[in-house]
Amino acid sequence: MAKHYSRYDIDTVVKITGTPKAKYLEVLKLFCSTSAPNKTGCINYAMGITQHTVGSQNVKSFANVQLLLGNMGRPGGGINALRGENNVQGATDMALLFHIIPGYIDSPISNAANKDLLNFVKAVTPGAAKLPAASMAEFRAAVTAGIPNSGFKVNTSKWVVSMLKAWWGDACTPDNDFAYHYLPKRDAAKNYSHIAMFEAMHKGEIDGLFVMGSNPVVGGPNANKEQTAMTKLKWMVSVDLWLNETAEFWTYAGWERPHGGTHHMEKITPKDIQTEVFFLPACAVYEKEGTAAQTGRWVQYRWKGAEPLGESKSDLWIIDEIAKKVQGLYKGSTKPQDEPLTKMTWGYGHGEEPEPILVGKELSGYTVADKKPIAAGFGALKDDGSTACGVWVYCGQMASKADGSLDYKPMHRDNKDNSKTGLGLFSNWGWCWPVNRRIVYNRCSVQPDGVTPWPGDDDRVLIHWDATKISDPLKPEVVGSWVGDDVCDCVKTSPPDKAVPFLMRPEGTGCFFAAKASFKEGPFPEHYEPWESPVKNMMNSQAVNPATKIWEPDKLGTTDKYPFIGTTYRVVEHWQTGALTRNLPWLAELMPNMFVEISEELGRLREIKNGDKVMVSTTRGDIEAVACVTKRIKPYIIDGKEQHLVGALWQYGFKGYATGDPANRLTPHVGDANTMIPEYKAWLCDIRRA
Amino acid sequence: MQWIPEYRDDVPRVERFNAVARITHWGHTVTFLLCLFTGLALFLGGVDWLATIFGGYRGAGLVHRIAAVGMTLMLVFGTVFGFKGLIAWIKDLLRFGVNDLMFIAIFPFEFLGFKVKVPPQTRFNGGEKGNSMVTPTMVILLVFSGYIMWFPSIFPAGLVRFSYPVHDLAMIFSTVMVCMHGYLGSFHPGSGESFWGMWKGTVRADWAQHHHAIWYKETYGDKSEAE
Amino acid sequence: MARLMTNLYDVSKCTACRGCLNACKDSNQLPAVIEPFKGNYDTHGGDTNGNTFTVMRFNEHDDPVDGVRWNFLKYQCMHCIDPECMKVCPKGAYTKLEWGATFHDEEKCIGCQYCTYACPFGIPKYRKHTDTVTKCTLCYERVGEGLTPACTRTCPTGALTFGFRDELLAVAEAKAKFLRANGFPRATVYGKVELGSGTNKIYVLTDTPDKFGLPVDPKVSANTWVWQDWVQPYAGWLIPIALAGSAISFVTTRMLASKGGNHTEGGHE
Repeated sequence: MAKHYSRYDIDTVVKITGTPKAKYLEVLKLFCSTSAPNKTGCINYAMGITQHTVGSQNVKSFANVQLLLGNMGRPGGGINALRGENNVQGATDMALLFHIIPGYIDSPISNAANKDLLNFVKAVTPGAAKLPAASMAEFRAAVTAGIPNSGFKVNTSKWVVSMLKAWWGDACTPDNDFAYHYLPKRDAAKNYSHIAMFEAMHKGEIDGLFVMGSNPVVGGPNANKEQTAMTKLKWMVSVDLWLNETAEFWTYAGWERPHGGTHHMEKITPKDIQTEVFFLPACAVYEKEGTAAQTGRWVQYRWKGAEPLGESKSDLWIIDEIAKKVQGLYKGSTKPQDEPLTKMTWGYGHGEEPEPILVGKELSGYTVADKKPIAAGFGALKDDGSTACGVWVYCGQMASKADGSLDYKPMHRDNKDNSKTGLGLFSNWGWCWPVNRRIVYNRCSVQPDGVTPWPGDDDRVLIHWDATKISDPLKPEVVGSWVGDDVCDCVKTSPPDKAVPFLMRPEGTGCFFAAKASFKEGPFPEHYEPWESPVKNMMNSQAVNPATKIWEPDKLGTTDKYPFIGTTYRVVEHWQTGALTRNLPWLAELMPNMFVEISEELGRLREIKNGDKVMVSTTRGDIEAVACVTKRIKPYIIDGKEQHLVGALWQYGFKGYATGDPANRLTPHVGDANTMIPEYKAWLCDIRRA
Repeated sequence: MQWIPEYRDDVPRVERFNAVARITHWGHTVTFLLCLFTGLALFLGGVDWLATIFGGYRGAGLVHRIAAVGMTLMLVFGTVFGFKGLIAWIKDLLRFGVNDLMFIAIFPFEFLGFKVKVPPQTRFNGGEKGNSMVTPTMVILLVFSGYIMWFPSIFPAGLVRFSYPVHDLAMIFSTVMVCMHGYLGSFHPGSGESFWGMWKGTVRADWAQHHHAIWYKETYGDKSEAE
Repeated sequence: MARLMTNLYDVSKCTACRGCLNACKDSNQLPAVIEPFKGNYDTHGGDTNGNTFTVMRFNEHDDPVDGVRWNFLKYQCMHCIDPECMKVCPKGAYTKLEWGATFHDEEKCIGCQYCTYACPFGIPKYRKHTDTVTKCTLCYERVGEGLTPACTRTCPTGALTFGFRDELLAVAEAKAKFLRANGFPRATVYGKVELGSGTNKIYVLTDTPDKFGLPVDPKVSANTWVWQDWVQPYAGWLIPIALAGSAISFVTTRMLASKGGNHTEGGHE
């Protein structure tokens, strides 16, 4: 690794990035000082890091840096993704991603490797791919005996079967492979990411679309193409608080485009669009109940503050109604292909409104025989159908109280800092997954001997080994346990020399070398330029990430027509696509119009004064905006040459009080090699006075 | 108790002011007084009773603005339709001379009722010339400063700020002049006949000959006797 | 005199989130004033208006030593200890509450806007539909109930605090001293002695006041105080003097006439 990064000397790096050398050294000195044993540094990142064709590589670089500096598993350290919405974490925990099932397990593909449950669990359990086990019983035995190089994920089969049991209840038995065949399978050849979906939609391959709390006409990359793609749908259901740009994608206003740009777009009117559009009014976040999970993996229950207005409904009610109605349509069917629906367990209360706490119970897990919640956590889950659990990482968030009522821990609101040294753990506020462990990898907060704090770092020891402690009164022969202010992130009774700090990894240690399965580009992050870049790659001869898919090679913009770097970002006053905030007069007052920010130097170059109307163009589209000529943006000096930046707000559309052109009409259909997250953050454009 | 001198149509009378002049004058009188009283209601403290007459402060403000527009229209009307008279008036003012200065010097004695002897006066005597110069100037200042205060957003802040004391001072000086003018033009024995000059348009010929000897000779008398 | 209570605004903690602006609108139920974006994040031209009691100013500076500074400033009525608006208002619509807020009584206001042009900060603004001027109230109703002003309550960073003026001045001085030693050599406190006796809104600034659009040494315009303090109290007496003079003349002329004076020169019957 040292050899790999020997090419990344400081002078080369500042030549590529345009960062002033003195400032870069200042930052390096400051952050690297956290390598001291009594210091930690935390890296928080968001879309500026991920929305690139090298987004995953960026994050992996952070992981490597934090491992090198010894900042993992310690208070004030770590890498934290700042989520874009208040429950993105909860969404991904529930697998609102195209490639996983709940709990971050790869979802099955329709191929030989995943042909039945046994093959599937072999595929998703690290180190088990070539196990000779010929039945689930044999597999179970191998798991109990321990599979080398598997780590804690050796238990994956228990989580999979418990999930299947939660979804298909009585129809999930050892004889029918625990209903594994009911689970939808991905096509190995297809990519199901947002970009891929809209590319397919554009080709007419998709009949219908549900858009819940989402607004791709403003927020999707290559918005012109995505809006056009939607015209090929047979039907669309939009669920939101207001009629947003996506709900109204078919209107005359939706197809207004500025004159005189470089991008020619065929004029589309409502008469040309055959899509049947349905709108379901949703209620606001304070008008519904349920949990939300944040960056620190805290799951907090939220209570309703007001009743929904008019006919608007909570997402839970809407989904519940749809599920009940769809299941109802298939009622009485004896066809095997309908069984996933006819046998599906569904029932979250008997009233008009489904009860979030019943959903919570299913997520948290229960023993099938007595329907009691599994308070102990995912360690108690089994792969024999005796346990059910919707999301294994949430297992243990519900317990039974002495009187039989449910104790739903996300509802806890104890604001006392339970750490003895003022760290601010608040372990009894909400519930943190997994098993209320607040800081993962906390084995690292104490030295390998499990007892000695890092020099000078006494106040930040989260767990330590007590050789005399009996952790389970029912097993007094097991002496020795990890104790401390946080839940230990290692096997509780495993002594220091055996308790590995990164137990989810096969080797149990941190790792610089990324595994092939998790990282398409290769073992070490490497610098590549964005798909559209004004400069050549100065680190190696490959311009753009070689592992990513280029969806529209003919749409590559070049500097002769598009000489400036474009990027998208937000303002505090609007949230996401502005579907909510641009409808609120007080917020529209603060940020009424779309604008782009450019340096004074670019302003002089293109004769644009502060407040002038401008047109910004890429190969994908043109937008009009007000120019904000500012001292806060300075040209980059990359390889000795001045490169200019155009910063575009992406949060505007044609609906509401505060309107403007969506900047995403400019962004490309290209994304990260692993996640396909679109490269919203770097592309080429031109800007002229309008 | 005598108030205004009796109107005598049995003695020779001569024309003093034509219809346009009189309409303009009384139009100004009404609008000025309305502006004055509503303005005082707005400007002074402790005059809620005065505001009540106009329907409260909102009403006083409204009447003040309506009267101000009225006064502006009177200015326009007088200038447009009485242009010749305006020129004659200005010409008379430009004849300000020693006779006028002496009039002003002697005036306080006359004001209190002592017998005085003044040199012959033109159409407008020394005091009237003074009034003619001060009051219209004050009115014009009132009008301009008034509009600036009414629509402050279209004017520079410094100009708006200046308009407040200008409006106040112009009001004070014009009101002082109006008090004098109103008294002298009505209840003051000696000059009270001039009321009829502005009301009916004519004054007694003997009064004109005595008080405005030069004007009388030039307009109605033997011109060769005029100086 | 009661102990003064004031708002402290520490620029070094302000992120310009403008929650204060929204909270003020919410608390006073003011309508949104949507004006077009013209190149500055503040669309109200850095100034209050009849329906916006507080604004956030955004001032950019590029200094060879300090680099680029984006200076935020919450701007609203300063609640001057010795307010000029109170002095000039012809209707006495302004009073000082005992804890320091400059209170404007809309019932008494006639919308003449004299205060707008007398205020060294130009704060009170005309609101058409009530035909009065308006300004920050320092949330006197909330303070009366033992709460803090709405802006202070909302501020997520603690840039705004509310408390006793003497205590907050000490906090402000200490903070300015800290800032001066840590990268902001011109950090200063504003509102302690300005306009002679200071204001009831205290600022900790990270640079000189002009870098935030504040007048360095705010003064009441000479136009205002020459008129207000020297001329106006006396000039108005001219009118009663003129009236009295006329009344005297009315009496004396008739008295002297009845003594048999000759009217041929002085007057006629």
